[in-house]
Amino acid sequence: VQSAPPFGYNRLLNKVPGSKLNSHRRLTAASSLGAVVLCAAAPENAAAAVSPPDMIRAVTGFVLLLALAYIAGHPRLVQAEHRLALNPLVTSGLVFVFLGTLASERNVGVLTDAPLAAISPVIPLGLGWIGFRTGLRFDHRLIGTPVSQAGIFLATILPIGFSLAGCMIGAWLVNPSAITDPLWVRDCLLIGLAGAMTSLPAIKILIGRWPRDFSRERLESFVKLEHVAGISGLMLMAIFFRPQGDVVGWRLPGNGWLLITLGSGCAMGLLAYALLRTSPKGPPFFIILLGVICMSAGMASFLRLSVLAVCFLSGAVVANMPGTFNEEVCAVLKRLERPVFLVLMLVAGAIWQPLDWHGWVLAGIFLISRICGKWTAMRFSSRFLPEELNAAERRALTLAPIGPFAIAVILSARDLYPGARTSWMLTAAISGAVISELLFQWFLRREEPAPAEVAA
Amino acid sequence: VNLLYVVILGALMQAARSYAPSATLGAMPGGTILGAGYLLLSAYLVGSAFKLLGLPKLTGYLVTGILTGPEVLDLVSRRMLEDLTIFNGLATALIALTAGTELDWRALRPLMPSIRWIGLLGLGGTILILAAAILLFPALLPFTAGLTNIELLALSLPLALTLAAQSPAVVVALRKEVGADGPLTRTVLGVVVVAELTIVGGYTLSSSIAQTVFGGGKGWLEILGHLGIEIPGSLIVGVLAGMVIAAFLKLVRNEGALFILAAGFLIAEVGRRLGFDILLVALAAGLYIRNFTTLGHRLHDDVEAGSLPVFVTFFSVAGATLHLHALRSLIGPVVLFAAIRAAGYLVGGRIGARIADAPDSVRRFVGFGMLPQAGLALSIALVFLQQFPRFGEQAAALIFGVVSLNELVCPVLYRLALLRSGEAGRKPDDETEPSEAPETGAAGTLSPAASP
Repeated sequence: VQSAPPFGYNRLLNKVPGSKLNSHRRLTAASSLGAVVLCAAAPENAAAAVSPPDMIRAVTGFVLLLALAYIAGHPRLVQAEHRLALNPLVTSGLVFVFLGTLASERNVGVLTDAPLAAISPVIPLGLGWIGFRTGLRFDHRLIGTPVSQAGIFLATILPIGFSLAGCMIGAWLVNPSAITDPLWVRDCLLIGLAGAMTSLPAIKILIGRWPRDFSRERLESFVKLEHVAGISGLMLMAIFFRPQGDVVGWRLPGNGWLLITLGSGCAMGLLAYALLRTSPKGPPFFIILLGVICMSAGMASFLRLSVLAVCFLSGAVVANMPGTFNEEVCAVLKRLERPVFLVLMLVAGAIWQPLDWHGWVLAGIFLISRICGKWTAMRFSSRFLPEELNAAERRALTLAPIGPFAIAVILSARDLYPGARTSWMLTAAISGAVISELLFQWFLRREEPAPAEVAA
Repeated sequence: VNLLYVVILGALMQAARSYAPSATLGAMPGGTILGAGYLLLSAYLVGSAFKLLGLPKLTGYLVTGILTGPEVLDLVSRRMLEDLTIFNGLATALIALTAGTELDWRALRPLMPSIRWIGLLGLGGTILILAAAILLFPALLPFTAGLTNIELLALSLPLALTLAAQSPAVVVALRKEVGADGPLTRTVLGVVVVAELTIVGGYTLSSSIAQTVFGGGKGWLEILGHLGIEIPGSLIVGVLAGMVIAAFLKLVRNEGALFILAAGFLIAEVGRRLGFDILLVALAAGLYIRNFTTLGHRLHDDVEAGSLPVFVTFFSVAGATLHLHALRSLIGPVVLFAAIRAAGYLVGGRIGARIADAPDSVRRFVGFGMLPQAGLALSIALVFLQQFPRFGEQAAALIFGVVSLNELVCPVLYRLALLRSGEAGRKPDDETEPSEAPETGAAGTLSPAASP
């Protein structure tokens, strides 16, 4: 069992805590992003549809919610969550989902239809931020880690396959013609993709609690590669399920779109690298960082590509090039990762329709499919790749909860396909997150305490 | 190298735009974010290149907007620009808030005799001359066609005030850049900060009257009632906002920038909808914090910390929305009004300084310090265009044309004036650290050390 951080990305993540970043620069970044988020919300566009008093209420409420998201992302609160071994998706994340749902109520009138349409640019911006951050975590040496591609393939493809099969059976029971409808297949694939994602914070909790039983290297690599597989899946989906017709200027085959996705992500990453490398610290640095993320996300969303994939590629290019500025980029993105995620959760809450029964039926299928898929994948892993993970790790990965990344995948669907059944998927993911978290907490309490704890 | 990056960005943007020739796709959320990101990066890079050439960064932002906007390269579509105008309100509030923090009455008091005379004759005279020119040569301004004499009179004052606006930030920035100190530097700074307050207050008053006149059918009682609510109401709300901001800055040490941005956004979006004047509210908040608390510097620094992306986008969007075809037909009036304005400030400032018995360097050069225009002028211009949409793109072209000309030429002239006056280089380097600011690429505030 190794305890030392093995890769370059760990150097970026673990050896450079956010507190070491000059607080003024960190806050400059926060406020720069805040300004752009506020303005991206563009309430001006909703003005025509909403009366001035309602607009005042919406603007004030949205600003208060943003402030709350920023406060909830404070490093001390994050540390407290970590100490209590709680998954952020079911603590602060759920609170913001419920706040979003509450804000979308007509009586509250903060995130009703018109303001929600007006703040829609926040979705690609937030997804771009998360994608770029995930890309920065990616070290090219991860590809050659002890965890083989076969293991990752099993851990992602089997749950996706199980979820797809489960959802298609469910859909077939409701509507027999759904099974041949490409839109149903697309939505089921998206649910499966979201369900295959494991929570990275939960894995970190596990490693922090039992450092001797779980290898940081193996588990973190596994989950990070799983996220990479998820992003690749989204990229492929965006390539093969595309808008057609006269509204688009380019008609390309799938391979063409694949090259465009890779090309735009890498081009923006190289540009970011070239600009950030020579940029002075302070406001100019954040202008460039923010500009690159906005442009990568905007370009992807504009071309109907996966925002997460394009921004992931940009971030990965920046992370894997030489230079010391990476540390500053990482620290800034890390501090703002939680507020950005919480803002996305607000939006998710606002579009969520918890009273729609379809979502709850789907939730049951989703959860059972996920656990079956993970369990089967781990069984295959122990049978064919026994040296990759130990028994405790396999058990942990089977029961590990759904993470925030799953919500990002579902919001990607909202960005890519406005007509997708996002609300159903959200019901499935949110309820799945809560139940899988309960299972995970049960697992945490069931495992033997660490020797250090016993001694204490 | 910066220009090479700008070309690459342009090529990427052109490629993306060619994907969705239909206007409907350009309006989707991705289009807004794409436009914002592209303008942020390219305007910042062009601004940096301009700085290397010794030109103001703001001019670089405006030029980027003009070149990439719908009238030239069409990389940023009209639909994207419509979405991005949301930055206007926040930028206006932040500019006025910063401007308020530059008005330190304690520092200005010893210079009041000079400021009073120079302000009265320089500023007052220029406004009157500009208003007279509007009244006397309406044929030069096609957008005034069909107005009655009363309407023309009502329009002339807010338009003259908009054209007369000055730039304390440019003055402060140039003072820092050349390390100037002396009677000229201090007097110019005092004059422009007082002029700023006068212009904002005067504009609010005159535009309310003009709006009432153009609204038609309203009596003077209604006009007075409207003004009686808008101006004092804006000032009271501004002071209250200043109190809240000051209380927050006192209580929380590190999170000021974000809070100020949120406050600026609320002032812009909520204040406007409640019928308050954004400029007055934010200016009053800044004034309160500068003169009644010890937090003026912190407010200034915090605004500077987070506002650069807003300003870069704001100015580039302002450039992109410039109607070049309208400007082409108004090039004569633009030059004429810029010349009238310059003459007013140079002659009025000289006479005022002579009456106030100011030193020779002040008499000779004070007018040059009153010439530059930048963020505040653009903010007032945008407020003018919002309040008087009936004058359309031609009014916008005239105002932006005059502001752009003054922004491009006048900082260079004032810099020369500082060098010629012999005050350049007199100031120790303790506060000449260049910083990023919206107006010229180097800004600061009237620090106690600089106070007379």
